[in-house]
Amino acid sequence: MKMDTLTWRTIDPGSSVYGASETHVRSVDEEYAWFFSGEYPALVRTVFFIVHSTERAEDIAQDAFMQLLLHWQKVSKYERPDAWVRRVAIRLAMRSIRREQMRSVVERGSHTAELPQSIDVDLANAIGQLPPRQRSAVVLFYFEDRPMQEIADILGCSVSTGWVHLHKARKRLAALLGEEVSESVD
Amino acid sequence: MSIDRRLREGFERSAPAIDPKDRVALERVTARARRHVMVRRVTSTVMVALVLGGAALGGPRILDALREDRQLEPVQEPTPSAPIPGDATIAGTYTATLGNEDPAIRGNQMVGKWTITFRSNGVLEVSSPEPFEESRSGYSFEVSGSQFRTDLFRTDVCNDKLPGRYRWQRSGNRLTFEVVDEPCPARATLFASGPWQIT
Repeated sequence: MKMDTLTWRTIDPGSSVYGASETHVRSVDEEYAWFFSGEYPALVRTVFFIVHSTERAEDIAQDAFMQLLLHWQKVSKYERPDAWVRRVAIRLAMRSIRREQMRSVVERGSHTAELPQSIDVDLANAIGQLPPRQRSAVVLFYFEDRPMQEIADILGCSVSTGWVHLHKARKRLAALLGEEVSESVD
Repeated sequence: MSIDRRLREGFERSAPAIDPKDRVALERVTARARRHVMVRRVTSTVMVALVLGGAALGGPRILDALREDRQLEPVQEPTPSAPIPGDATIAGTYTATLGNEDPAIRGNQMVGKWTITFRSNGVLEVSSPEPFEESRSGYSFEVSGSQFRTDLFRTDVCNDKLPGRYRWQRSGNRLTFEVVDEPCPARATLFASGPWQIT
């Protein structure tokens, strides 16, 4: 869908999205809204475990869904639109971490985000010490329970590289959390 | 506990703490997308306007420049205006006879026939009438276009004054000088008393 062909259409009072054709708009918008309500909370949680900030996680997830909305007519035809929006969000999250790390270096201090109550703080802090790709691999594998093929696709690397990220992350986390680590992943 | 189990349980325990409001978020996302589209449209419109404006303003000039490029012959570099020592067009030997009407000529005993040779190497030689005691050679001259400059008599009657500047013209056998700037009256009298005839 090209940007210059987009027109804004009302989907319900107080909210509007666009579609490429009048007849298609309503069904497209409803489909998008349905997809959004199902995927958004899960994506925010995933991004949160990577960036460790509720506010940033929501901001990143909304950016990703905005991109999805702009490309909805094309992406909705894909087999896994959720993988597409995840890939966008994870990349935005990794970029955000790098930016945050740079800021910490420049300002000579680390920003400790306020974590919500009932969060496993030790786990969050341990994950916070991993590089962006290892963090993402851990969250996608253990929290989202995604197969390595899909994780590699989201991270934009080969499957073997995805496994390397995960194994390195496991070893580091085991050391930080004082847990056992075996060669094979359970 | 294995790290794998620790991770799975930790995520599972923590996940409910993150409870985003998807209804509000959807409105925000659509608003962002709308802004994004608007910004893109405005940017495109501005860019098109700038391009059209630039074409309207600069187009005629560009066309003129292109047209001139086609019409004009290659222009030769202008000749440097630095003085040229000597000059083939002025080179030669000239004579002039100064009468006794001018008091300056009489006072400086310059009455009589004068011969001046302009050599192409910029050297000036003067042969003066017998009563004038200061006939010499070794002075110099420079020509630049119609401008003529010389230091004749600098070390004697001109008392180290600056060189004199003249506008010169040669027409057939006649050579004339017109004073432009001359601090030495004797020299001005000599050159301006022409016309000088080529020999």
